[in-house]
Amino acid sequence: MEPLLSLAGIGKRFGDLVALAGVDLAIGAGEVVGVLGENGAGKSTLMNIASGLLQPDEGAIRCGGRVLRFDGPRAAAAAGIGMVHQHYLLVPTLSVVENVMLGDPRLEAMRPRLARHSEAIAALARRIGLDIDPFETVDRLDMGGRQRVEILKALFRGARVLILDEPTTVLSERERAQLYGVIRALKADGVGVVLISHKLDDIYEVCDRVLVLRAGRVVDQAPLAERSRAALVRSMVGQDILPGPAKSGGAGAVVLKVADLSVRKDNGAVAFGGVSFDLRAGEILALAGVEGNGQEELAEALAGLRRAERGSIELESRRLDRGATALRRRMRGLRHVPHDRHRRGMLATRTLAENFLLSHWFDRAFSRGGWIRRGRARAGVEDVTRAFDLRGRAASALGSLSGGNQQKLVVGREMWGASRLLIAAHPTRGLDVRTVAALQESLVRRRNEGLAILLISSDLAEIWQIADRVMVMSHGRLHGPVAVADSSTHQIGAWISGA
Amino acid sequence: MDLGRLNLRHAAAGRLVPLAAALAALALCAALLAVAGHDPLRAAAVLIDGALGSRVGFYEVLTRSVPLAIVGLGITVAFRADIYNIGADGQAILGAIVGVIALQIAGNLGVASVPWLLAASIAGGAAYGALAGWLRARFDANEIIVTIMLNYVAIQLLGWVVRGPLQEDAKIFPRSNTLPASATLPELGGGLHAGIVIAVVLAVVLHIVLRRTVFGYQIDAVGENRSAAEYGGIAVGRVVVLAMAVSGGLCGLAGGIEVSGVYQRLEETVAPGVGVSGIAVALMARLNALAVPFTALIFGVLTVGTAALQRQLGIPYPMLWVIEAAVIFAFLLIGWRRRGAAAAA
Repeated sequence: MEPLLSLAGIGKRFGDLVALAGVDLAIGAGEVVGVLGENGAGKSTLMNIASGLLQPDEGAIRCGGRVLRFDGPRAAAAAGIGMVHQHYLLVPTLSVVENVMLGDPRLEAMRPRLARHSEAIAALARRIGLDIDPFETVDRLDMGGRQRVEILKALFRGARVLILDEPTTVLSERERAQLYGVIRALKADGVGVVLISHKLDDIYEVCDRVLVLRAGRVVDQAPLAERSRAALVRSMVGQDILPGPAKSGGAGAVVLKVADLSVRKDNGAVAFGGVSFDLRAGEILALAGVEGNGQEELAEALAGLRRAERGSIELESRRLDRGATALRRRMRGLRHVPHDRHRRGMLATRTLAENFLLSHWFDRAFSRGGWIRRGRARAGVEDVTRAFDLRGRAASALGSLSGGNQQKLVVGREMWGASRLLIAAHPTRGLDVRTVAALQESLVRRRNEGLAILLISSDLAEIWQIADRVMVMSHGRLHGPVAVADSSTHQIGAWISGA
Repeated sequence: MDLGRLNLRHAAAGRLVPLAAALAALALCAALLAVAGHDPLRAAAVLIDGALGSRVGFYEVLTRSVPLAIVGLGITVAFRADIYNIGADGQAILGAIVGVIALQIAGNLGVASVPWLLAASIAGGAAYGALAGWLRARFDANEIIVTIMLNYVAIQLLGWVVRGPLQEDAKIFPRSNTLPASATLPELGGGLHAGIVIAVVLAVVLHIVLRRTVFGYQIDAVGENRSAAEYGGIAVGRVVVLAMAVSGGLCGLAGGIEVSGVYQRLEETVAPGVGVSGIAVALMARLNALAVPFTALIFGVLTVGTAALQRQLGIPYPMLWVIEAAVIFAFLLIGWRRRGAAAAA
């Protein structure tokens, strides 16, 4: 049978980075295909090409037997391909009907006949088992409800292939079960579904076939019945990586002690619960796992930027209570490379020197008697410039630099003079190979000098290269920590995918 | 970045923006005059001659520039922290009222009278500004709306005190008694009072505070990115309240100086529209304290010159407000365009 959508020999590169190479994927009517892979494996790039957001450099897209060229999401939607992104694109103050109709060509007039459309939408929702009130405003819906609106939006525009990008990440257990029900109903209706996920549970629950991506290539493709969980994890994470050299002689005193910590997300949902671990001086403890599983919330709770719901944090045997503001923690030696550099870590229109000061302004070396010592800050920027080959002058605006150079400044600023505790979220992200090596070497050197490092990373190779112990956060729970030398990438991969 | 808000700070960052805004305002006014049947060039000549053509006119310009400069400095502090203080009028009025009350309570203090009055004005304006800052920091109340509302409260309060507790002994006009001679700012000659010295000194001091101190750094960091400031350990709420206190204190001082140097009593017209003028002054100076006295002088020239326009050509005085509004509007438009460019990038 002719597939609804087929991608053949798709290749895509961003500068030097090969995001995809020679990827084939076909979706037939009533088929559910799972696309599995680690962060950065190319899953989202592939789906953005299928839905018209990106143009491929090589390869062809066939839809109903014809070769198509999507010059935008509208062209893809017209060809019957709908996509539900991880971040929902809805207007919160409008109702479900209004959101579904927004941008729809059938909405001819300024005041659409919403009642008529709402009946059609409600009928469609009932047919696939979606439970939704068309006149509810979107901001009153939970995450699952918003996702259902996105699905409705795609289907109402006539999607025959529906691409769901990490649909279960933000859902509760009950909402996940509902989503599986919807996917089965769509399958029965003859819709082709692509499910992007790194959770094996999702894949095994609803998929017929699975395709595993690693570093932009298809490394496995088979009917699900022919693959065990262990086999999928193995093809997802690749060969076992040997732990890197230069372990320190032995870790020192406990620097950070976390016990039974629970924290909520911004939307009030529980980010994680009952998390306990110790971090010692002279140790790199890695936190692996798919992003959005509470890593950012953990880093913010440790840094004093987010209130803990329950549990305790001790820094050098002193409990951090509510009076321990972000400033107090920084003054006691905490350094923090944030997850979201633009939101948290940068004063974009300010100079490099002023950005350097952001984590040193309270230090007596950089301010005395209320006066800022800008000369010292410029010298600090020069230190960072030399250490990490940063291209930029102390007086230029940080926002005018390339992303890689911005990252170098943020990481370098936090590493400057760090001697107690460093929480580093994806410190090497966006850096070129040479700088990555220099930064990793510098992290190891600081570790050997006694710095305690919590390395938050989704790059298993990096973790195996430099970390002493590793733990995984998934489904709001912490697995581990275990010594890197005593575990395998397969075990960690299994924890990450919930296998 | 908060896309739902005004972005005057980013507009003010461009080096050529003040020039473009001034040209836009000039072009608009020339067009308005031409439509009304006046020769724009002749009007410009009358305006400049009225303001700068005589010693009297020039002293008047300097006198008018003093409150504009001090309010402009106050606006500069608030806007640098990304707080849109539209309440300079209210803060100036509170400064004037509290200054006069403080003087009445203390009686005649001799040479200490002027410093006492001005200190009380600063305290009054600072408390009023800090109230808006606190509402912002504690309840995330929109400071634009809060400060506008507080302006009306201040205007009503002033209307009441000059008809009630502070009304002159003769009980005829809505105004207070004339201040004792010891409470008037010393005159430098030609009707020009010492407030101009205060304005220039304040500009230099504020420049140093903003560029060289930890407080100035915190204001800039909070203004640039509140999340990042919080991440860097800066107590954002405290900085917001303090910045509004300093901003309000400066506006209050402007009110006190008008009472002490110009009116010599409390009247209902002590601070006519200085808030809007102050915003135009601060934006034209690109939120640079050192440039504020100069842009204040430009608006002083416009204030005195448009009065001459009214006298000699019958062009209504509110033309000044059109100019001010055009300048602010040009900044708004540029800020909107830049925000669009930043969002698209």
